[in-house]
Amino acid sequence: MPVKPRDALFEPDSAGYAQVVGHFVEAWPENWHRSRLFRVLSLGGYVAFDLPRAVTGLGALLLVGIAATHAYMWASQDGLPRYFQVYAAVVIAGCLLFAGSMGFGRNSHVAQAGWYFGSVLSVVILGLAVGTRVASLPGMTAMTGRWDFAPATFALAFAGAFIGLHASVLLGINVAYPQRQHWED
Amino acid sequence: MSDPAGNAADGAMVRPELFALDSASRERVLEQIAAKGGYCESCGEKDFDIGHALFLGFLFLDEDSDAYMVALTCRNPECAKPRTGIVLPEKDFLSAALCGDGSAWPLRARHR
Amino acid sequence: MTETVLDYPAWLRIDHWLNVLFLTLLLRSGIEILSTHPKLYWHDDSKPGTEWARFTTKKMPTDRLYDTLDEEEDYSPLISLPGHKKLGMGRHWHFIAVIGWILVGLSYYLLLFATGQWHRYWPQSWATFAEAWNDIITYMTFNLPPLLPNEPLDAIQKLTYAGVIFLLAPFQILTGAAQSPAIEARFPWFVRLWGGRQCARSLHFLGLVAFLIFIAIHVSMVFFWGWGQLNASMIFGSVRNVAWATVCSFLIIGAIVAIHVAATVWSLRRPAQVRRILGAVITRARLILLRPLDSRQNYPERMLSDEHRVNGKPPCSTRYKVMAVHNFVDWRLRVGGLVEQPATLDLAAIRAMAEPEGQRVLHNCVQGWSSIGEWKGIPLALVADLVRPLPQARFVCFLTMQDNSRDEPSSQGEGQFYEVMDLELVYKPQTILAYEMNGNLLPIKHGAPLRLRVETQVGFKMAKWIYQIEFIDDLRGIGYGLGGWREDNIHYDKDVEI
Repeated sequence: MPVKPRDALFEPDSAGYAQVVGHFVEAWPENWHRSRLFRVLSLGGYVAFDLPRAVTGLGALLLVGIAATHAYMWASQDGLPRYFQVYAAVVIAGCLLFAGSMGFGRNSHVAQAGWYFGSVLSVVILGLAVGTRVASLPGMTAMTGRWDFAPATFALAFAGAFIGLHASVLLGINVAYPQRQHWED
Repeated sequence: MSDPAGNAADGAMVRPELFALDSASRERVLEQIAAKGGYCESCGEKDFDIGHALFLGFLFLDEDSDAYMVALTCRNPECAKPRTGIVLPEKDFLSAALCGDGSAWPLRARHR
Repeated sequence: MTETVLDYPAWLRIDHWLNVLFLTLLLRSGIEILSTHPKLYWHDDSKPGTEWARFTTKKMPTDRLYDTLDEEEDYSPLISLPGHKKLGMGRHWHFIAVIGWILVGLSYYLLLFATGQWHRYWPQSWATFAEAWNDIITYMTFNLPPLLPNEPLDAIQKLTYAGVIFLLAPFQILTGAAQSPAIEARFPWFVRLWGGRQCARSLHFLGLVAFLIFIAIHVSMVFFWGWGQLNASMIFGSVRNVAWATVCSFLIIGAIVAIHVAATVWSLRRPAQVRRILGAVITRARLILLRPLDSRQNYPERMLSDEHRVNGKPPCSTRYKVMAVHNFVDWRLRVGGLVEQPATLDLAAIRAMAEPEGQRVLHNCVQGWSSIGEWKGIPLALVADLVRPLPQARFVCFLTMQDNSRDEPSSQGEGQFYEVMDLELVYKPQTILAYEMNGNLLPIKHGAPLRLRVETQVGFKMAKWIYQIEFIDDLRGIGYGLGGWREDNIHYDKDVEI
């Protein structure tokens, strides 16, 4: 009985793989797909979901969540320094833009770009959120230099979750709209 | 779905996996039997009526992917066990016309 | 009204630890059941490629017949009970744990309400929800929120427990019941309520995930709030002897782990014994609760599955192929055993016995997939009336032309496929010998020329490629004596209303 290992899906030149995980990733070295780390992270290929709309919806929601926490911080505190206001505006605009493009079904490149930029932004936010827990910033002593500030924890959680979700898409565990798993048995 | 005539045990329906052969295919089956020296196990008769064909390759694990069984009925009216069959690969008997025929049974050996 | 003191009475503590045992047995055995068909669907057709989740690396061939036995996965005993493709064992543990869990749950509900302790979970007012949101915010500041006044819980914990005890647990039981062929057959509206059989299965899986998430958060909470103190409450009833409480908690957990290990090893080494001992309880419960149910299915034509799934491969014998190519003119059905008048019938005679009875029904494979098909044939009761079973006949044995050694490489066993069922099932509604399916003659892969349909039972009982029916008084002399090929080799139960 032919029982091809799922790794076959991850042949870099396989149409299936490119379909599923898209550009950039197919350019990664072949060794990566055979590496132990990849197998562990992708759970050996033993877990996969074909829920593109749900995954994209969740990703968009997480970005909106990041935007919402920044909007809350901006609105709830008085006398915030200019640099924070600019930063918050950029984050809010970026999150909404990337969330919107993720749902753009007509062009999968646009959708994928939304995910990648969303992840880049999430990494930045993650770094800043952790950094500002440790170090205090001038003019924002109520919000920085402390761990017991809920909006920062929320932003951290949403950003981390988004990166994890995108990683699950890149590893083939999930698919994002407008792609599908194409399980053709 | 083609509806081959005859050979229905119950009169009304013929099983969907079976399909009728055209005269060219039937001729080739007879040639194959002659070439292989085939004969009826029950009575030794070498003359057969050719019936339907059944594609074996998909359903049966022990068969090649292009194998068919063709129904043979011994022409000897006294034969105790007249019904038998012969297994042949597609290229040995099926005519090209049937291969392209949309009404032929879909369970066919297809080149993928 | 006297205010109930929300403390930790003995029954609450005992039920808690019993719950840990049964719930973990359910989780591990549930994963074993999932492993036998590690794909989840929303639609009753279980159409290949339409699954929304896959937990397997296997890919199926496109140029050969494959069945769901080929799709079965081998999971480690670390996550499944007992692991290694032992569905029979997984089912037994799951059902015995269901019985235990439901009894514990019932006792818990009764005592909660009888003692007034239900106040610990049921929110007093809508304010609890607002308070719960505040608690979440507090947790997100890495602090512990305040407990509710005179209660051992904070608001979000209270709501979570209420959700698990009063919503999630009944949800799991009901979605589990919606996967029983007997319940589905008697109450088609119940399975429709859950969106269909596959939807119920998917929801049941989501319930498993919800429980896993709950357990992770619950254990973390106990850790952050004070492992020693909270375990002291849940073991001794109050916060005392905290160090001993910690030790005892690990002893209890160790004992539960030991039970799991023992169950796993016992199942892998002595499956027939496990089947007999657990089955003594499970089969009795099945026969009392589910045997009386009769099938009343009549699905509309538009719901028929385009491609009805299949299990078991057709007999690879030359004799079978020759019969098939001649439309089974030479096939005979021998009916005998403990009967007054044995009979031998060909297809024409069977058809002539009566106008064909049709039924559009949901087929439930033991592995978890389903399909809806229309089957036509004659009631098995008619054949029984023809041969007139003797008073001592208690079972019916169906012998088939399939030989698993030759025909089914994915099966875990050898020899001729046969099934035995209780005589009373012969006379149940919608028990037929089918020779037509979906408007055509019964296809080869679905059991041509004749197969059994018993709609209150799981699919493996419905023997295909039948050539002989025997009425018997003792099933112990056939095969390995457990009532069927799958019973003998994979240790399923013989009576499978669920």
